[in-house]
Amino acid sequence: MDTTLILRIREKGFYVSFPGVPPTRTPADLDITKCDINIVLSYLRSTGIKDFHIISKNQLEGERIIKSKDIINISKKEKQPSNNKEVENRLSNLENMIGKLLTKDNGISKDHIKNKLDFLEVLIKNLNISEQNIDDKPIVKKEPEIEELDTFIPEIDISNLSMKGNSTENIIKQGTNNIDDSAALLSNLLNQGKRGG
Amino acid sequence: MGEEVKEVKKDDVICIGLDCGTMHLVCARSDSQEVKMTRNVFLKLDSEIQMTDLSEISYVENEDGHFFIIGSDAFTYANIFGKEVSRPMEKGLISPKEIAAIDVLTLMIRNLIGDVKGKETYCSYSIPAQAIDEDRSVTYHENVFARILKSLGVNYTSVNEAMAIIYSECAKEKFSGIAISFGAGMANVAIAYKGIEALTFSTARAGDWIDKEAAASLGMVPNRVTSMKEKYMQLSGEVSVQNKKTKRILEALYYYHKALIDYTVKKIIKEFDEKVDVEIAEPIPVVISGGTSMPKGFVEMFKDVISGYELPFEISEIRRAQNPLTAVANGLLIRTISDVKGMGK
Repeated sequence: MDTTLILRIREKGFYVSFPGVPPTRTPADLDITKCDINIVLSYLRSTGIKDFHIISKNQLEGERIIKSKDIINISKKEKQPSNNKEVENRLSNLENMIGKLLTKDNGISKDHIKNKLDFLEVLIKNLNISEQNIDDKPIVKKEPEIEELDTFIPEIDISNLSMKGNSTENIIKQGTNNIDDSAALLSNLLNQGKRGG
Repeated sequence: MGEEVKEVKKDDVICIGLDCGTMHLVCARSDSQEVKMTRNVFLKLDSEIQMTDLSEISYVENEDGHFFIIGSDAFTYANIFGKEVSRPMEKGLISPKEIAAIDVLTLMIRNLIGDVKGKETYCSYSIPAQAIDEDRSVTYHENVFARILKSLGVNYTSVNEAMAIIYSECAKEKFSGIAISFGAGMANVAIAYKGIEALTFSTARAGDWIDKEAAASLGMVPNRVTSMKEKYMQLSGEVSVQNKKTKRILEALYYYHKALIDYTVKKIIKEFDEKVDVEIAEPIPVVISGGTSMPKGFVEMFKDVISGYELPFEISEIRRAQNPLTAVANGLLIRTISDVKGMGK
């Protein structure tokens, strides 16, 4: 199953150049399937490009858009230290305390100790289940938002430009009769199907 | 539920064909017997050049005081100063390298289309087919031109460049044929049967490829080679040039023209074999067009090259478009008029 990764940078005016893609002016769509994603992300961070998406396309899942802020959140989540160490320490302490209780004859009944152990067993089982739940969580929770390509094309602003002279040239005479005849013929051919022949 | 129908007088509707080529922008209008053309290049001026030097040329000025010489003047000045012109388009598509390109291009197109105020204007503009030998999408290019035309208040449709040649040149065959547009950035191919496209594709090898390869072989700037090609190039008959260096350039250009044709013919055969399911019973014409096909002897060279191959289709004749520089714009105009007729206007 081939997955294609497209990096869509919407911010205008950046000159993007990293291994695996030709130098490009933004806004742009870049195929980064063959690029090292970590290099791409660190390049984007270093150049200060924040408004970008990565579009993942494949035949089974269709198109999925991962937004820049989600990518940053994922990175942050990955960097959080694990809680397991703390849990292990606390369990170890509990084990020691129970050991002491068992070795001393301090009048605590065996039933009481058994209850404590049962409670610990339940606690450990619940701990495993909650860890599994964390692993099963999808990386991207939000449904992909498909944007219209039109918003990606830069706005045209010629209000600050003025033109002097006339750049048109080579004015060639042509007969309009042939054009009208050809257009009528083409219209008949192309619209034949629509009119049911 | 009655729908209000706005009555549009025939004179208030203008149809346009706009050929958006790498080297030229060409425009044909239904209300004019003239086809207008401009070089699709510009040259950003150095700040030391004074305004008085610009009195005879076309240029664009922005509010920061920067000047861009546009059209063929840009080409002339670039040759004088030994500079490379900037191109809004590269290899048949909008160039991602030129920051100012889209705004300058918008002004050039506005100037080319002319006045459409108060008119209902419909335009077909040319787009290349997806290239089979280069991984560049035409989507961005197509949408940029759509936005330019929208900003000028024009209704627009994109049409494949080579299909436009079929519309322009193959009416007598009821729009059946093979059209090849050898442009500057790309070679576009369309195989059509009765007005319906059976196959379209493009290759990233065309006139610029010839110039670049010839320039690299001779250690020159591609601009200079382009200039020599347009002045002296012919692929048959005796060349009247005496200068040794120019002769060497023309010799290199000759071989690269032949290599380009050979490459394109091979691709046509391969693509036809792999992708065309339509049974084309009768022989069809091959129409050759585009600026790169302009040198004398190009069609003869094409005939010579293609005769060396066994073809999966039968050819009735190989001919040049009536005017290779304006065929696409004319074909686009035909398509626009046809579409507008279909809309009942």
